[in-house]
Order: sequence, then C-alpha cells, then structure tokens
Amino acid sequence: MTTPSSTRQEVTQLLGDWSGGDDRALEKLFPLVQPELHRLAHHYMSRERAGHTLQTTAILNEAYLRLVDNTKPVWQGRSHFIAAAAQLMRRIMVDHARERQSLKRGGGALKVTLDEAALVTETRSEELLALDEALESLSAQDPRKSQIVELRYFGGLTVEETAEFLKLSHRTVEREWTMAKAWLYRALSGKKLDEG
Amino acid sequence: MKAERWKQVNDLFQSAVERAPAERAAFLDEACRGDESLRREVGSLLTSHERSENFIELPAFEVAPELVTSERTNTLVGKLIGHYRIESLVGVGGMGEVYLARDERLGRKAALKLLPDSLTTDETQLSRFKNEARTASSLNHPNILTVYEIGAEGNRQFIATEFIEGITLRVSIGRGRINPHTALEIAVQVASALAAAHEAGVVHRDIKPENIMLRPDGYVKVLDFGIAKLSEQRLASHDHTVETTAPLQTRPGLVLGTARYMSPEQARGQKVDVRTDIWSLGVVFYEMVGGIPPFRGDTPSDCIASILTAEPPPLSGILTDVPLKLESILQKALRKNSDERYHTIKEMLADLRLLKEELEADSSLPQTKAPAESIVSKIKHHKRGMLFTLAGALLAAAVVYSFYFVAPAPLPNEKSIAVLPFENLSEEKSNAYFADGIQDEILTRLSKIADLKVISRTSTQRYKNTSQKVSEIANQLGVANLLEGSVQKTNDQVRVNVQLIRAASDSHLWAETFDRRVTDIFSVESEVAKTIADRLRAKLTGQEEQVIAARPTDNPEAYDAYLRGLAYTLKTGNSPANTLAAQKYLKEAVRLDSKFALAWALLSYVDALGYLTLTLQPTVALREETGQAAETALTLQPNLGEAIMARGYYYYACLKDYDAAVRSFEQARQFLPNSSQIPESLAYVARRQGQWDRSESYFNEAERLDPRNVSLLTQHAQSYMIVRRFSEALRKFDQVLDVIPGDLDTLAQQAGIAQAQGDLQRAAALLAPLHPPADDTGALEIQVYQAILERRPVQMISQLKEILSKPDPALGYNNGELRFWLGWAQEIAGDHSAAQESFRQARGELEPFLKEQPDNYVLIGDLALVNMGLGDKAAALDLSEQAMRVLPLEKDVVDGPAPIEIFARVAAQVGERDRAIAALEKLLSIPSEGALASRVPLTPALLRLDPMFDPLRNDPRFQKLAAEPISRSL
Repeated sequence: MTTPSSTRQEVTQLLGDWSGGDDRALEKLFPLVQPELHRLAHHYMSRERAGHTLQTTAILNEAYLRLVDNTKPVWQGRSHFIAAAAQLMRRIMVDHARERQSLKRGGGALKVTLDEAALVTETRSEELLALDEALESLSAQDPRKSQIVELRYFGGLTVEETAEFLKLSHRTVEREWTMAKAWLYRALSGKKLDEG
Repeated sequence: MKAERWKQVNDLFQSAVERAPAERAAFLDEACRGDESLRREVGSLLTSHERSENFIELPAFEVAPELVTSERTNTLVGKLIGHYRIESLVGVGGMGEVYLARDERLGRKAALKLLPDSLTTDETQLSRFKNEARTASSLNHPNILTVYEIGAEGNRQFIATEFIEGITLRVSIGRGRINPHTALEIAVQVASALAAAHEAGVVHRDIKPENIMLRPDGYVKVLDFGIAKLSEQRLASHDHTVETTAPLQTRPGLVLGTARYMSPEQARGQKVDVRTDIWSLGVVFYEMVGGIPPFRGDTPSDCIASILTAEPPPLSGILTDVPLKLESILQKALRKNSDERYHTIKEMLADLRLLKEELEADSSLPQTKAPAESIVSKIKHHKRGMLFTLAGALLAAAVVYSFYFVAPAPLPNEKSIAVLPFENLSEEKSNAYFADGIQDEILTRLSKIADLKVISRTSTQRYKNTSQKVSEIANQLGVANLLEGSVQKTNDQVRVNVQLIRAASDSHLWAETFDRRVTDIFSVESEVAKTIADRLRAKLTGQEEQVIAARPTDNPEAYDAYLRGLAYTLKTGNSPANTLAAQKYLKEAVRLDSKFALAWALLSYVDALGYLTLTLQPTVALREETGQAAETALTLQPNLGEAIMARGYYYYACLKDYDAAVRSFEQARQFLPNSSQIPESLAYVARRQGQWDRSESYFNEAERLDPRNVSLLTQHAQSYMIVRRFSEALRKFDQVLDVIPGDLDTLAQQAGIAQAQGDLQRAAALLAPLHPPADDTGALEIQVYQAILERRPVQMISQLKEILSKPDPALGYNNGELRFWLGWAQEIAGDHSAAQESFRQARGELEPFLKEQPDNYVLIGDLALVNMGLGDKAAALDLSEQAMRVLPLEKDVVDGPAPIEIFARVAAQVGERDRAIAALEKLLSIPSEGALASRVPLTPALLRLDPMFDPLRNDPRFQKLAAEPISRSL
C-alpha cells in the first residue's frame, strides 16, 4: 500500500509549516496522519500477539516513511515528524479514552467480554485521561517538562532521541524527566503525599 | 506556583535526588530551614519520586494499544452480518473487535469476532484468524469456548462463538486474592480443558488470566487457542514438540502481561510442548492463591530473568494455612527444567482433584447435601436504608457468578430437580397468586425430602416466562430434572397440569392433569410431590411421607388467604407495601382458621422481618404479635420446621437473643434438611455477634444452596462492606447485578462504596443515570449525600422539596429523615434560614414516632441530627447518647456502631472536639455499618470529604485519622 504523492506532499508541507511555528498546521495534519497510525498500530499489534515486539517508535518511523515526501529531504524532517506524531498520538489516545469513558457511563458497564481488552481498558482509559489532565497542568507550570513527557510517553522516544530533538543535553532530559514523573505521579495519587 | 518558586523547588529536588536516599531528609531540613511549605513541597515530590520508578516508563501505546487500534465509531450496531444481528461492541483485542450479537436463526446470543476491514487484505492476519477459529472449533469440551461458525460476509471475516457472560480471571484476581478452594476449582477446570486439548494434539501456549473466563454458573472457559496450533510436527516426528512460532528475542517491547506466564523454554525461544501449559497453569494457580505473580520484574526482560533464574517465594510466606500439598503441586508445575515437571496435564489434574477433595473433606462447613427451600425462605430480607425496595423484577436472564464457585457437577445428581414457576392459565389474571402458591407448595414439600436435591425458589423464579431451552435451564441450575406446570382456576374448580422432564433427553418422565375442587388442592400437591419422589427413586422416611401428605388447613378460604399472603412474601421487594399486604392476608388466614399453624409461622416471620428491617414500624405491639404468632404455631404443631424457624427469627430479630436463635435454627434444620434459609439466618446471627469468619462460612454454605438469591447476595455484600472489604463487596454487588441488571438500589450501593473510597467521580457516574422513586429513600439519600460531599447540593434541594411536598404517610418517620437531609443540603448551599425551617419541620415530623418506637435507634439518631442542626446542643448530645444506650455495641456489632457515628457527628458540630475524635478513633478501628445514606462505614476518605466534620479539620488527631495513602500508577 502506498500513500498518494499528493498526500505525501501535503504532509511534508504541513510539517514544514508546523516546525516554522504555525500551530494550525498540526490541526490539518491530524486527519492525514491518524488513519495511517491506526492502520500501522493494528498491524503491529496483531504481530505482537504472536510474540513480536510492539514499539511506538517503530510505528512512527514507518508512518514517517510512508507519509513524508523524502525525495526532498527537509532538515530534521524525521524528528519533527516524530514530535508532531507524539502529539497526535496523545490526541488519538485521549479522544479514544474519552469515548470509552462515555460509552461506559452511557451504555452500562462493559462487563461482558471475550477478551481482556474491554475490561482492562476501562481503567486504562480512566488513568490515561487523568494523566492527560495532569500533563496539561504541568505544561502550564513548566512546558519543557511536559513536552519531554509527551515525546517520551506518547512518542516512544528514548532519552537520547528526546535530547537530540530538543537540543538539550542527555543529562538535562534525564533530570527533567525524573522530576516530571515524580510530579505527575503525585498529581495522580490524588493528594500530596507526606514525606516518608 | 510562581516561576521563581518553581525553580527553587526544581533545583532543590534535583539536588536532593542526587544524594543517597538516606541523606535526603537531612539535606532538605537544612536547605529549607524556616520555609516549611517549601520543605513539604519538595518532600512530597521526593516521596513520590521514590514510588514512581516504573511509572510511565513504557510508552502509552505499548501499554494500551487498543486506544489506538480500535475503530473510533461503532457503526456496526444494528447491522446484520451473516445471520447475526450486532447488538453492541464488547471488546477490542489484537485480533479485532468482539461484538455481542443475536443469532437470528436460532434466537440465541452469540459473540462475534470480526476482523477489521482494513486487515482482511493481510494474508498473515487472515490465516491467523482462521487458524484460531479452526483450532478452537476442533476442540469440544465444556471448559473450552464453543465455536458456532466461521464465516464471511462480503469482505468481513468472522467467528461466531458462544457468548460468555462472566469475567476474566484477570479481573477476578485484580479484585483480590482467590481463596484456595475456589482457586483449585478453577485450576481443575482449566486443567481439564488443557487435557482435552493436549489429547487432540493442541498446545495452548498462552495460558494466562486474561484467557480464562469465569462464568456466573461456575463454569470456567479457556479462551484463545489463537496462538495454539495443531502440532503437525508432533504427528510427523513423534517428538512431542512444536516450534514456537516466534522466538522471543525481541523482549524489550514484549508486553509484560504475556511475559509473566511464559515457561523458561518459551522465554528462551526453544521448542515447547504440553509442559509449557503445565508451567503457565502453575503460574496462574500461584497468582490466584497468592495474589501476586510468582515471577515478577518491572520490565519484561527482568521478568524473564526471574522466570529463568528465580525461585518463587513460597506461598506460606504470603498466606497462613497453605496446604503443604498445594505448595508441592506448584513446585512440581514450576520446575525450570521441563523434564522435572509433571509430564502430562492429567497427572497435574489428578493431584489438583485429590487436593480439592481433601480440602473439602477437611472443611468445617456442614455438608448439607441438597439445596432446598422452606416456606420462610422466600422473603427477601434487606437492611433498611440499603435496599428499601428491591425494585425491578427478578426475571433477569443473567446468572450469578458465585465467587465461592458452585462447581457444576459434571453429571448432575439424578435425584435433583428444579420446580419452575407455574403458568397461570386462569381467565382472571389476578389468580396468579394461586399458580405461584401451588408451585411453591409442591416445591416446599419436595424440599423436605432429604434424599432429593431441590433448587430453591429464589433461584428458580427468574425462569418465569422464560423461552430458554430445558437443557439450558437445567444446566444453569445444575439439576437433572425439571418440573413445569400450569394452573387454571375457575371459581371453586382448579385444573393443575404438571410435567416432569428429564433434561438430558428432554423427555417426559411423567405428565398428569388434575381436575379437582379447590378444597382438594392439598391432595394434588401431595400427590405430585409423592409421584416425583417415586419417579426420581428418592427414599422417604416415615416422617417425610407424613410431611409431604400434610394438609395444613381444612378451611379453603383460609388457605386462599394464606396463598395470597405467601405470594406477597415471594415478591422481590421487601418493601413496606409488600410486607403490609402479606401481613394483612396472613392475619386473615389465621382469623379464618385459628389452628392453621403454617400461616401463624409465616405471619410471625413476616412480622419479625418487618420489625428488624423496619419495613414495618417497629412498635412494641408488633414485637409482641411476632412472639405470640410463633408460639401459637409451635403449640399447634411442635414439629413444624417453619414454626421453629419463626421462633428463631423472633429471638433474633425482636429479642436479639442470639444464642436462643441459633438453637432454634439448628433444631429447625432437622425438619428442613435442605433449606438455604438455615445457614442464611445463622450467617446473620453470627454477624451480629461479630463472628465474621463464621458468618462468612454460613453465607458461603447458603449460597451454594441458593446461588441466585438476590437478598442473600446483597446481605453478603453488605457484610463485606461492614468490614470494609470494599472490593469484595463490589464483586458481590456485581453478582446481584448479574441477576437483576441495572438494579437501582444495588447501583446506588456501589456508589456509596465509591464515596467511601473517596472516588466521587465514580460515585457520580454510577448515580447520574438513577432516578429513584420517591419512596426509595435509601437511594435518594445516597444521591443527596453525593451532592453534599461534592458541596453543590442545589439541584438535589429542589428535587427533595418536590418529593416532600406530598409526603407518603406509609413511609412513617422516613419523611422526617428525608427532611433532615433537605435541611443539611440547604445548610451546605448556604441557605441557613431555609435549613433551620427544614430542621424545625423535621423535628415536628419525627418526634411523634418516638413514643411508639422507643427502641428505634435510627429515629433517635435522626432526631439528634435535627437538634444539632437547630443548634440545640444539649438535646442533640442527649439524644445521640440515648441512641447508643438503646443499641449498645456489645449487643449488636453490625448496627451498634451507627449510634456512635451519630454521636461523633453531633459532637463534632457542637464543639465537643475531644469526644468527637475519640468516637471516630473507635469507629475507624472496628467493623461498622454507617449511620447515613448508604450505610457504608466511615473511612478516612469520608472524613476528608464530609462537611459535617469541617470543625475538626485543624486538629492534628483528626488529620491523622483522615490521612490515607493512595497509590496509583499507570
């Protein structure tokens, strides 16, 4: 399956716009990238069940190769794509989690299943939404920490890749990540923990 | 937080993290000298840092891929695929979506697993999908998911399978450790499934809790033979091994859930055979009993390292009383070297079975042979405020998942029978009571035969008007035979038709039509019972012969009144209306025939229950009537089991003389050999005496006899609630919801638990769709309490006002109680003067009842709260102390704490801080039923949320009580 070159050009163009500071470009990217992520995720996931690895970066890389016109390489095109995709991934998952939550409230409990997924995702959705919310508050206080979490947690980037993309030192990313985690963990634990 | 401050926190945190954990506190003390809030902020971040090691380390997509993969909108509902009408989406997994569908051809439910459109072009996917289906369908075993059909509709490939209602073992384990009996039962069934699969040459290779479903009726089903494949190699090479499809070199991305159950050879990517399933079952069994997986690690690779090298911690280190044999089975299943393991699953199965039998033989539980029923067992029994009315019919289709696992006998006892509800064929639909009564009388007579197994009425009545097949019903109830019947009554003539059906062959063992005069109805009942006993070759004692031939009254009108009263007791809800109607007809029956012992016994029971659960106003006169009715019944017929039961109930409910009650119940057991009512009552009494473990075993015994009895399950759930075992309580309530889906009071109760857990969001979500009727004050109060905890009661205020604008006199003092809630809500909304007016009015409504109900601690407590609201400190304290005297804790550990809670609330509000805190300390240290709304006991979370405790907030002792660690991680 190949992506029409018009789509590739559009994605490439939007990516350029976005990295140039145009936030609306991301909105326009969403519908173009979402189906591809969905398809790839499905594909990878079914392989996972046979024992294969399930890696976020692998999917995003493949999406990049499929969606971006790499005949005209843009400087840092890949890392910009991954950064955009991390945000999109977050949005896809959060939207989905919301939908599931509302489904659960409206349509009664998803109690009956043939598969663990429906059951497990109820709590996962709930927790993902809570994390998303906490990440939002973190971003108000410290946007860099929040961005690091987004790249790592939703984009699957390693510390090194994150550092490379943000042009920060490996050590800084590590430190920021550590505190962001502690902060988020505390936010999700519902209250400030007493020491010890 | 200001940017500057944030930077300060950040820097301090970083500096502290770089130090050794032991040095951090001292460092912070020094660095934050004089800035306590900075110290706290960084301190709490460090605490959280220490706990957050693995938190969000795995990317979101790898944890919850289904949030990316599943279709966003569910457009298939209502569509027809093949002959399956899609009803709803129930799950999404790696292999596509799973829908609940109705097979339009056969009219049964089915689960439809669909491969998504986008992937049907993927050859690998498609063949995997088909392979899964073929493998599963080649196996025919009761513990393996039944595949109905593999098909395609256009491009859509699907598998239709049996639809399993139940939960995965994963969910069950998530709710808490599983007791060894149940765990063994589950393991035995999984092992039987595997034995069948192995025999057919199929190795499952992915045994894990997610792939094991627990069905409400006790059946365990093994799912997902998707990665299993027929071991053709085995047939070809005779080496008893198959290749793992994908050697697992790619461990970092492997999902942890799967890694935990892998055998060492699987983890190494080596050849696997049947012994890999033995290993995985061992892991699952360990986790069921121990509550934690034997091999753990924060990442899949750590986990695999543990599988390859570590010995699991012995269960005896986690639990007490682990049978040695159990440990040795686990050791043998979890040998790293597969040659040292059980060689075949059959060997393991044999050991599991043996252990199970040993445990059962050792069990101190009385081994009552057969579930049955006594006349008194039909009355639902709810604690006031919990389930005032158990609204809604009991006709639900779902079956109850019994935690304690009523194992279905593989071959039901030949002498077992369920008497299904009789059809009312009378012109007059109002004659339904008569059909119900006849069915019940036949059932009761049969249940008095010790050699028969007779299913309780409470478990059969949901099959009224059912279209289910005979074999299905028999299977669900675990019986070999069914009795169906119809009754047609015209004036004084009655036609009764009965059919005794052998379920296995769906054949009639016997059918008969009786045309009799109404006065002769007893002879029909006893003839039917006698014939059934004969046909099922039950041995009857002389006494039993007499009992089933009994003629309870010679007065047909009295009998008619009795049947009408009985029918009301059989209704689901133990509501004031049903209780009053039952009482009225039973009084009529004994008026018409004062020698009608059975009617006296039932009257006494109805009264006692009304007295206890406050569905009747608990007056002194009622108490006396209860005692006299029981005595009259006993004098008339000293050996009438129902009369002895009734006396026990009188001791229990009215006199709180628990020892006398227990003696009566034990005596009644001789005459009602199979009654689930006996252990049920004993469970209640033991509970009141604070013997929680004994109570638990009685509950379990009763549930084995009567697994679909909503009231029993509800009470059991409430027991868990009282001892603050909330997850088990929720699970029991889920069982109730399986029998009566959507039951308002049960959902409200679950919301009450969510409140006590401090999860207001969940509580709100549960409560939002509920619209309790005006007389369901229990559920209403839970809703008001929610609004108060959220501190936004405006909407509830108008709702309460509307309800109270036309108070229902039948609710007695509950109207005044509801008005107290209105006042409280108004107070929280800041409308002090309206609140005062409500409290004044409430006092006026409550006080008149006090004279007639001097022992009603709830009423006294309500009055204390109302006086508290009015600022009358002396009266409020006085009344709350009075409530404690009326119901001292020593007398009743279930309800006894409620007055203490009232006292704590009052004391908190009127400035008696020390006494309030002392009372709260006491309450939080004992099992207790709460005083308000849901009757959920106080918890630290409630202390944090409930505005009534606001005056205590600054007190460090209170803060300590209200503190509770919460941990949560993705």
